[in-house]
Amino acid sequence: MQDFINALLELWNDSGIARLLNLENGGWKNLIMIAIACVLLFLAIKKQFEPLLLLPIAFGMLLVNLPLGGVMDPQRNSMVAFTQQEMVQYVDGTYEQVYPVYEQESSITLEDIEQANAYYGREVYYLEQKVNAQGDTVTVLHANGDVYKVVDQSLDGTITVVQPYWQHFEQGGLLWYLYQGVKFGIYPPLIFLGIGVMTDFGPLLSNPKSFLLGAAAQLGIFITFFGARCLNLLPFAEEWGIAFTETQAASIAIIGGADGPTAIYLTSKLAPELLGAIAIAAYSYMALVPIIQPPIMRALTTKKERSVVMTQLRTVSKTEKIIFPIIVTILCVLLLPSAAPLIGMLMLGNLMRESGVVERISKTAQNELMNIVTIFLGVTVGATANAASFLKPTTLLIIALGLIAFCVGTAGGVMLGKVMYAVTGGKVNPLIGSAGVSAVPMAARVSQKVGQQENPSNFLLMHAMGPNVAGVIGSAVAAGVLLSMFG
Amino acid sequence: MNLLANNVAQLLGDAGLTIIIGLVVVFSVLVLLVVVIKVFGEIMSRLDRVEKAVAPSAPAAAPAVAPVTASAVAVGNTAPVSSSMEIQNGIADETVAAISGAIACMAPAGKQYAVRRIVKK
Repeated sequence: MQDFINALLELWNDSGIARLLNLENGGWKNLIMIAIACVLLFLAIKKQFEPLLLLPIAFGMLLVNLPLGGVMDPQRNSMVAFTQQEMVQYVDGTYEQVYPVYEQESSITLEDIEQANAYYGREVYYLEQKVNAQGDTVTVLHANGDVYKVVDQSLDGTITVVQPYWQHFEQGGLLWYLYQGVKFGIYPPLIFLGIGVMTDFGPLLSNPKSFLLGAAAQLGIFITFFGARCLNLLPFAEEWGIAFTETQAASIAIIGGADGPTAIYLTSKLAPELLGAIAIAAYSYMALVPIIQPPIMRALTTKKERSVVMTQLRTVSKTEKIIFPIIVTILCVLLLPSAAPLIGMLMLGNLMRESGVVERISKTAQNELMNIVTIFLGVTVGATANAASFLKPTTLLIIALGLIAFCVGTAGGVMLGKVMYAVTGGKVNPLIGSAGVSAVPMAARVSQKVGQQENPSNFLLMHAMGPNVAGVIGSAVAAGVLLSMFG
Repeated sequence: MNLLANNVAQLLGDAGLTIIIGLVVVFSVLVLLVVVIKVFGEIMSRLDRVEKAVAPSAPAAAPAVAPVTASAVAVGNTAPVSSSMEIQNGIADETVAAISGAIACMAPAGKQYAVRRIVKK
């Protein structure tokens, strides 16, 4: 009976529930993380906040914080030295090899052997020649009860023996393998490929000035970088763990680009330790665009400015649309090579769309491939948010700095919109500037909505799409700048 | 104290420089794209104007035709469009091909036909 109870107790102690309820040993942290994951799942399912990404992110977070699940455990490769029994089999040629075997050579001189034998007063070290199971003659060194395979005997009396090791693989968790796509910066450019296929750069081409609004909205990135670095000046920064390095500050600042794949790409290169917090902050703010942006837009513009009705855009020819991605790729990659993966994939996708000659792969890129990569990206980024790395003051600060970046980016776009309003004599509605923060097409829809609140017959959507898609290019360029400066 | 002040100045200076470099590079790249696209757009619209100026003179010879849709005369199901058919200005070759194809599908097997005239109503 006692054995039965002991077995049950052992089972209980080895269960995830026991670990979770072991509050003194950090179980409470996992409980908090599970609660956060459930809140995010609620926001994704019930409130539909960026559900395509928030749902897998939240589920990844949930999975990784369930103790002993091991979904994010890394693969371990270790070298295990042969036991004597294995050595005897190895020398005899009867060793059954399952894992790869590596031989490490070491040398001993005849003089050393003589000294050792003299020390023990008997022949504990000696060489023996034997025929192994394969019929080969091998020389074996017996060393105080151990055997070694001799691979070389030089004339000066040096004997080279080998110590074999077998390489042991401890399989990693499922999400760890999928995470390699994030770690090596593979998924974000693939997402950009899909975005490129889905993006119509027509509004941008018909009004190229929109590019400037896309550039101005990147202001938030650089101002936040400055702010994050200034935190180092606080006397308690080191103590609280909020002293950000340049690479960490750059990764946090990119949240202001409101472009999830770019934020993940840059962070995976510069500060992978902050990936979970930054990805969650970036996607949360993208989902909250309709709540965050309108007050800033209204505060910075007058009723008259918001009521401006913009003239109809010119029609863009197919040739222009085809040549655009080629020109952008050549110029951007030549000027900023570090932006090549993001810009290159974005423009490849767009060229596939506009050329109209690769409809099949174009459909795959924007549907199947995009969906598969979104699942992998979301769930593995969520899985980086484990209790140990997420529940820190740093995370709260990242979320706060991300909000600042986003707000300043919005303000930057609107302010340049105001300048363009003044320069053009009231032909540009400054509200379209806020769409320069990417977050396609949500930010453009917000410009449309705020504009229509002032003038119900005003349709700003297509005008806002220009800065919106320019923002995608702008944030990729900004990421390239940060990468080349700190990467 | 001096060391601390130097560190602060260094940190602020580096961060400030990042803002300037970052914004200058982002704006430069995008301004360059604006310029290139503007120039390219201008070239394209000039080409368009030239094409439009040339286009009206070419089909002037096309005679005014009665508003008939498409008449098919059974001549052979392998020759959908006759070279002498009348096509009203503005009907694309693809449209002609599509209409001819549709007629070919509907025509009785073994019978020949030719499309004589396609007119936009």
